[in-house]
Amino acid sequence: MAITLKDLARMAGVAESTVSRALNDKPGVSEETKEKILKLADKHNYQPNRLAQGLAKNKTSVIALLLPDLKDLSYPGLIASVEKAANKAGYQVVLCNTAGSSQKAAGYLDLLQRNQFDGAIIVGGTPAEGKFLRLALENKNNMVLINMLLEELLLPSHLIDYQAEGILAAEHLLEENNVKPPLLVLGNEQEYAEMERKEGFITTCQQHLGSSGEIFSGVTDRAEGYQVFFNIVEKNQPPLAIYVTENFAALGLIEAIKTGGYLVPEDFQVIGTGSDFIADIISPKLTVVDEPLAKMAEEATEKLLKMLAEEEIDSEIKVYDPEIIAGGTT
Amino acid sequence: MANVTLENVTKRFDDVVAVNSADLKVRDKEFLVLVGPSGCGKSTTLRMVAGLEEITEGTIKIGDEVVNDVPPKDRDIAMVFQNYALYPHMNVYDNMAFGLKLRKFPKDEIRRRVEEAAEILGIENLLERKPKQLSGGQRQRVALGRAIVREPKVFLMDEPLSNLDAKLRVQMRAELSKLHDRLQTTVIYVTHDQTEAMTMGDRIVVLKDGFIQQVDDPLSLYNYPENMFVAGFIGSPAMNFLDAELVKEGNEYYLEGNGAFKLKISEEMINNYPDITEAAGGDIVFGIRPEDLSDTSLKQDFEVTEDNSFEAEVEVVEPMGSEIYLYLATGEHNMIARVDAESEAEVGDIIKLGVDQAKMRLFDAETEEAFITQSD
Ligand SMILES: Nc1ncnc2c1ncn2[C@@H]1O[C@H](COP(=O)(O)OP(=O)(O)O)[C@@H](O)[C@H]1O
Ligand SMILES: [Mg+2]
Repeated sequence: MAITLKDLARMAGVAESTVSRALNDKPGVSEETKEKILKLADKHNYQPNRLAQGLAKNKTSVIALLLPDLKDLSYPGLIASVEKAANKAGYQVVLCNTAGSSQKAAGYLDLLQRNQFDGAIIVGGTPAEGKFLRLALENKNNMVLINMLLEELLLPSHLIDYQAEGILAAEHLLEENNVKPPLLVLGNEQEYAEMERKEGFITTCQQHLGSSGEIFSGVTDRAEGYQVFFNIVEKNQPPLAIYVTENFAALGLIEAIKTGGYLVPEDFQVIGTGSDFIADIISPKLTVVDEPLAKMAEEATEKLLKMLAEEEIDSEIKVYDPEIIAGGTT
Repeated sequence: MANVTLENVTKRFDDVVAVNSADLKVRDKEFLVLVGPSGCGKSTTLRMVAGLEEITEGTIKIGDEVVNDVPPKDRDIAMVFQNYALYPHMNVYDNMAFGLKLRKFPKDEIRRRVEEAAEILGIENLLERKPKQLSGGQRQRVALGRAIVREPKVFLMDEPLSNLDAKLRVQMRAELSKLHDRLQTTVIYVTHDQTEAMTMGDRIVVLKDGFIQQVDDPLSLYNYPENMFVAGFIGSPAMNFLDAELVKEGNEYYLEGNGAFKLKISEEMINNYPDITEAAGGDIVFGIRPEDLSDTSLKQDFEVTEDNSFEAEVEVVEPMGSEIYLYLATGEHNMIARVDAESEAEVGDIIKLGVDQAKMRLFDAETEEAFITQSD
């Protein structure tokens, strides 16, 4: 529990206003009392600036959910999950689209700093910097990060282990097809999640086979997924197992496989990412490496609400393991 | 080259002036420590250099570049705080590398930097380990490694050791100093702990109420504090301050402690610091460090005379191993003496204290400024 001005006043045996004056170095406090208060404040790691903000704080019962883009198919589920947990505790959720811009993010964080929201859940993409650090340093306990990494400081964070996704996918494919390296079809290779999936996948292939297979990257939509197949069937020994990190691409790829007269999973095995509606509409249903996004979002929200209620939280960082949900494509 | 220059830098939060017209030149490759009591403006100063806090007035330069409007990520600095995140699912290598990965550094370059940092930190053999397999000190090193791999021009550290237990803190201090030698980079380090400042800093900036009090190397700061605040803040136990009157007798000057002591100021001191004489007939503050008061029943480095000794009653005896702290009183004055462990002084004894005249410090009773300074 963070120490409050009241606690300091009680410990020092003086009025709250005296503590306030001492901490802000205003006149009207004896050197001796001031020193005593500063010592106490130091000892208990009291954060002076909490004071002003604490007083000025009007509870809005609104939390902001900052998303880096609105295209990601997994976000509707995540949003619903945050909203459900927030509503249950009497909070409303405002959606903020930062469009991957740190400037836009800073704008929303400004609103948080000016107490237009009680707290914020920030969904990552880019590393946290500048404004985040500044706010984190205020120790107001009103931010939780999802899938966002922070280099300098500790903020409560909930993360998916993306490298584990790649490892799981590789292990799953290698279980049934353990001679030829499987193919990796990546989306935007510049994204951290994709880098991590790739690393996990390739390292695992190398461990098992001594080599890793071909990689296609920048494959994000159905048409691009479709095209991948034509690139591989031209080879005389095409890879028979494929890990696709974007389900839209998996959809196109499977369509192409079938159009070519081949069978899934008999001829080609495909594993996708995330149990979303695309995974469901593919026939047979797509086997996926599933990310427990909904659960993560719910728990992140609950953590934020606890922090806002000044309750203890159990762990600062929580990492969620992905799992394979078997469909009919492997 | 990374000097950091603050010119007339002020930071106001509404009516609080957190940093007041600070002028400071941080030299290239030096380990500079900002020290002072809680709320004196250390963190604010550091954050302005980092770009996390806007400057109300003044200019900050890193190297030759004015960075007032440069965002933190473009300042070529790395920050280390006490509370850092090590991600439990990543091994040490990845915990150090992810920032570079996110900045899209090529793989080979990332590997080179991480391996180099690991070597500097002596954690080469831990790269595959997960954080939970590390000791507290090793974790701290990984956090430092994350800053090192960025190869910044300046490291900014805000009380990075204050969460550690006392033993580890002492060990990490030494390691940080060694690290600085190896890295050859400018470090600005914030602490409220004067021992930490004294043991780590090439130079130390003492702050109080947003004002820079003194900028000096540790020894000069200790021996020639420019005012009573610095004199009292640096050193533990703190310097004794005894109220006295400056009395002139013939050509000689004495500190007269309201009947409790009468100590002669050496001629040499008067000659070197003639300003002292202007206080004659008025109040003056006599400052003397506990180790410069001795138990005269033991062997002395100087000849004990009426002019450099006085009697006081022992109120508390605190054995500290190789030495003893004596809490003493005479008249209205209280003081601490750090004497040799052979001293047999006991509570209630009246003992004769010797004063090393060369170590006497004198302060203007009004302004609290020192008469005896290094530059004079
Ligand atoms: N964000 C803020 N808003 C208002 N006042 C602040 C803020 N940050 C710091 N201060 C005030 O500025 C002064 C210096 O604070 P700080 O630099 O944190 O001191 P230190 O690090 O030396 O303990 C203090 O009086 C503190 O209350
Ligand atoms: Mg501070």
